[in-house]
Amino acid sequence: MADKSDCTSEDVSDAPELDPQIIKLKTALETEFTGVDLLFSMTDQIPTVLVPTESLHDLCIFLKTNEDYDSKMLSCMAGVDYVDYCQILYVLYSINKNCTVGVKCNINYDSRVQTVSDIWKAGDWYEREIHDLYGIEFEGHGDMSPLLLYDGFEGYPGKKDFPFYDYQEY
Amino acid sequence: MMQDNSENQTIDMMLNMGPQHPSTHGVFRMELRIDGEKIIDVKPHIGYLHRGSEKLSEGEQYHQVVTLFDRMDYLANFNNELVYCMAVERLLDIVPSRRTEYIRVILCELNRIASHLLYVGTIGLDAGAMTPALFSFIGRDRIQTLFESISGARMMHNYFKIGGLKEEVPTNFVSMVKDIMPEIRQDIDQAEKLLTFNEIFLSRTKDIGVITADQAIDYGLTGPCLRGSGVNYDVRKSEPYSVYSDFEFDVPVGLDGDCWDRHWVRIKEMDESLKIVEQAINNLPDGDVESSLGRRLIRPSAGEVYVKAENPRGEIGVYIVSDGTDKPYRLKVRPPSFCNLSAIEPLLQDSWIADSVVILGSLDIVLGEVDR
Repeated sequence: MADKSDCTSEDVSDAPELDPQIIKLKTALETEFTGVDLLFSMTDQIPTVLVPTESLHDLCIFLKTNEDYDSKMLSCMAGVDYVDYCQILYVLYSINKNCTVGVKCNINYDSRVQTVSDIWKAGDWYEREIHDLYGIEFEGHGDMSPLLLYDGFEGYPGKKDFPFYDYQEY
Repeated sequence: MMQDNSENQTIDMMLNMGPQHPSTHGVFRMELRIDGEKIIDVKPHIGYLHRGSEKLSEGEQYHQVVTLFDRMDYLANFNNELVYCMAVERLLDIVPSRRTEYIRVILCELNRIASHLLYVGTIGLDAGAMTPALFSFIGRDRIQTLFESISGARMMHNYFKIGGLKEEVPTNFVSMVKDIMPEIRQDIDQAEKLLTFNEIFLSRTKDIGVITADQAIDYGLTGPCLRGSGVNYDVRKSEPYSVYSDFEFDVPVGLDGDCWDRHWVRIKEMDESLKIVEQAINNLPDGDVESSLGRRLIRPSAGEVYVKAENPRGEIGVYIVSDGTDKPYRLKVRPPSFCNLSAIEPLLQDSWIADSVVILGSLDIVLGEVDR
């Protein structure tokens, strides 16, 4: 029993089922971003890296220009409200290499994050949508006017504390 | 006689196109800044049909969310149901029976044809041709009648269940599909003959609304809009899902990325879809279509899943975060029309107002999916 528990605790901390895709991503990123706190995991079948807010923009540029990843397309941007913070998932896709990479970023509601709409044009509307639903401010984004909601809508309906079923428009 | 016009100044005019405008294919408004007939700048406004489907699904149990997906892209109901069911199935780690998968693929491909047939009709109307719409709607009606006899509804079927189908198809399903296939082929040909190489249609669409491959990828365009620009990207080929790897089909690719190429890709896609239906119906396996879950409450373990599929309009992605309860913690849809529409700004710049209608029509948007 003692052996087993020792083994599992080590396994979990050091090598949680090292997927070959994760190893590839890890080696590519760790040489470039030394000193940056990166966390690697699998989102379903997509190798994903959790990146601090400050390094997000550089990392996105790196993944777009890197030959192995060549992520020319921003496939999806999804915000998730975890009450204390908001997590944004960027799904990047390369048509040439047929590979998908995920980038995650945890953002506190009182802080801002740099825009990626200058890297991918697709980020423009995605960021406006996330701003609508979660109130995240994107630094460097030119136009943060409401996209899905109307002008003057109060509150952020994507958040868990929004009174969705009690909300009366008129 | 000649007047010196150098002192005459023109000022730009603002023109609202929509939200109630037949050519915007739904409730969609474009704020155009025009100089005479030329568009200088365009500002699209969406959100008129925003129903909060993503947020609504956070309050519904997993099996109830299927109906919300029906109402997103309301011209491709089966395709939308399929991608949601696939996402939850992967979350639960179950695989539906082979018969289920085959029936799903047949229905999805027929739905793709129905959706593209509607497109052929509307692009004709946008370009000023009335007759193709009449022919294409006959074909669309045949498919919808088939859907009605299977699911009980012409649209909003709610037929795919997580892990299976709602019920077994009618006993004469195979013969019904085989019967309508030559008729649909005829309808496609008829609609196409009237339009595709029509001289007026060619002059309205060729070299109009050109988007380069790089630009299209940058804006996240997918589906026929991206393939029209010469990029060979189809989720059914690049990452085959369901049983698509069993079938042989080609991916039509355009050259110039103009309105006509996008049109041509859709026309050819219908032929490829018919090929898939033919192969699937001839090899339809026997078996059960009941879900292995039975009537149990669906409660996946905590985790995340991102699944994508090829809809008639492009790549649809579904991202589900599960916290272990019977309702999704967060459900995000990456709708293809949303990205396709975002490219309207570069497409419309420096084009004519009359062309704007055709360009918007060639993107083939569904506002129910753009706004969700």
